[in-house]
Amino acid sequence: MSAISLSSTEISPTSMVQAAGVSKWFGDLVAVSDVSFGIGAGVTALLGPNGAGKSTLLRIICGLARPSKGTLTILGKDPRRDVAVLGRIGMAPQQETLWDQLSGLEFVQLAAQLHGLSHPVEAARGAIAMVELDADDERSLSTYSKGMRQRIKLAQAIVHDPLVVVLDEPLTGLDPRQRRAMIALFHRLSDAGKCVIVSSHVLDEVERFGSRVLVIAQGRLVAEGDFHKIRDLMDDRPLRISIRSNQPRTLAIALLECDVISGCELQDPDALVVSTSDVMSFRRAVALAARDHQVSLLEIRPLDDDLESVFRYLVGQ
Amino acid sequence: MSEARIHARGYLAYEGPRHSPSRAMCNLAYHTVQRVLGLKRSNWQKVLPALTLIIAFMPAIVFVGLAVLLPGSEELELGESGEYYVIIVGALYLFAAFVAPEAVCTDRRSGMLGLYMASPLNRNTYLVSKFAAIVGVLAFMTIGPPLLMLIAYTLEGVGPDGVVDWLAELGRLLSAGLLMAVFWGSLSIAVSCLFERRTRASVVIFLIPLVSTAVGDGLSEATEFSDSYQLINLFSLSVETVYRIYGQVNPVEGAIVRIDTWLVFAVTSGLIVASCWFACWRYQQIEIER
Repeated sequence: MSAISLSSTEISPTSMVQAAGVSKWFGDLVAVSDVSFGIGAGVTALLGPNGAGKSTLLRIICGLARPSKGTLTILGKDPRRDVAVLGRIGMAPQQETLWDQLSGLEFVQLAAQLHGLSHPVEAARGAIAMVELDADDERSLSTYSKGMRQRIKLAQAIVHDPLVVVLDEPLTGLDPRQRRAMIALFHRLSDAGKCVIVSSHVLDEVERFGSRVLVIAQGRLVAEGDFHKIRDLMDDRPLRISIRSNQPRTLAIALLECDVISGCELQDPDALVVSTSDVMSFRRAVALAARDHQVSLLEIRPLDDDLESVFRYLVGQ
Repeated sequence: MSEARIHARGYLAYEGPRHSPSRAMCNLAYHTVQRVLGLKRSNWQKVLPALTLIIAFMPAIVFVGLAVLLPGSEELELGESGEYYVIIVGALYLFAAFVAPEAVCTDRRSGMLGLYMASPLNRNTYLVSKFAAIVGVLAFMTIGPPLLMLIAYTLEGVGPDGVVDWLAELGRLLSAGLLMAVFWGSLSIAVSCLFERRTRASVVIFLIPLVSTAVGDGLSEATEFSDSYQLINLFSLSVETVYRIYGQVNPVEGAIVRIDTWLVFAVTSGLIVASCWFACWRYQQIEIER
């Protein structure tokens, strides 16, 4: 029996998944176009509108599809050629249909067997417990609810302790409590040094994964990294900031005189909303203006540096 | 209790050994056999597999019964050697057409193929596992009944004379049974890999031998080269190959009797190799979309 193993020295934690100029086309349709990125340990959200190429990219990462051009390596190796690497990838696909005649335990056990674990039943039970399902539930998968199916798919993806976990829309169909539990599990995987790649449309939940995102639009990688920093880089999109103070009119005049805001709007008796393209200058100017005009600042809050705004600006939706 | 303890928190890593992909192939083949035979599925899913197994085994059980109850009966000759395959070729055909496509079509339709390919299996090892599962069940149908008869006849004292003859009979039985299983199994998997829907694969597999029979018979009757065209007939070809393994002459009227044995084997082997190659090629082309 030859064992599959990847020693820790073979694994570069900084770039567990590395794409270099990856393109994928189907006839005339370009699904992924010249995408390059590196993903290390931690949770990374893959975002993009429908048809952006997310699922194709996930399939390439899992070795299910061959890039038409470019290279993608997992742990430094080609997932389509190296079975040892494939054994360290866990994938939860988006589709609902599974091997419906099996029970949850049998399904996860099959995944454990395919990955060559010596004690598949114990491993399956452990994985099922992690997703908060009952391993002794003997019902077939065909009777599972959507949320249960999502969780059993996640269980089969992590049963073999993969280093790279690829999850396609794993939060769809889960109730809020289950979502919180799954996000906590993603963080546990991340804390254990796994590279967790999550594709999701639920942007407010994605914000809770962590801040690292890959944004795909029309097959191209349009942004990557911390979405707060991505927002800061959007010079062409003035940041909208809400300022609550005891003299909003005075503050608005002072800021306009400093030429650090491009517009302002008085909303409530104490609220002022300004637009600025130069956040650093604005931060300095607002403090000086408040001091010089004896204005008491009560709250300064950015209005559109959340993930949804960043995503909307990037993909134009 | 005076103290509180947390024994496990967070993600539990797997520290045990990991087996090679060959273990994964065995597991996949095992699960495929279960699926194909309808095990752990509804009773309706068990009907066709059970029916084909009954068709394959029932004559053998009858012959064994005759051997026990009516020793020396002339009917026993029917159960001997290559003739048995003429009786069960229908069962193999039904299994290849209506049962075996479940092994590969459903995986593509359900998206399980994607999960398999994300494991240490690749497209070739996946196909080998599926092929082994189908051929395994077919071989059970082709080798099981003749082996049962050989053992029963031997115990009743009507089997081959001497150890050498017995072993030679066993060798022919195993060769013929395996060849029939591989022949029908490779045809089934080659056609099945074209379809996601099992029903469509079944219809095509069902039609191919019928069309081959019609074409082979038609060409044989219409031309002077009668026997050569019978090589197109998949039923005749598979049965004739078995007769050649047993060194017997096919007694059926219109059978391929005048063609050299090497040509019969060459065409049979060629079809098997072509089917396997096509399945591998086809799976290399498939884009996994789910």
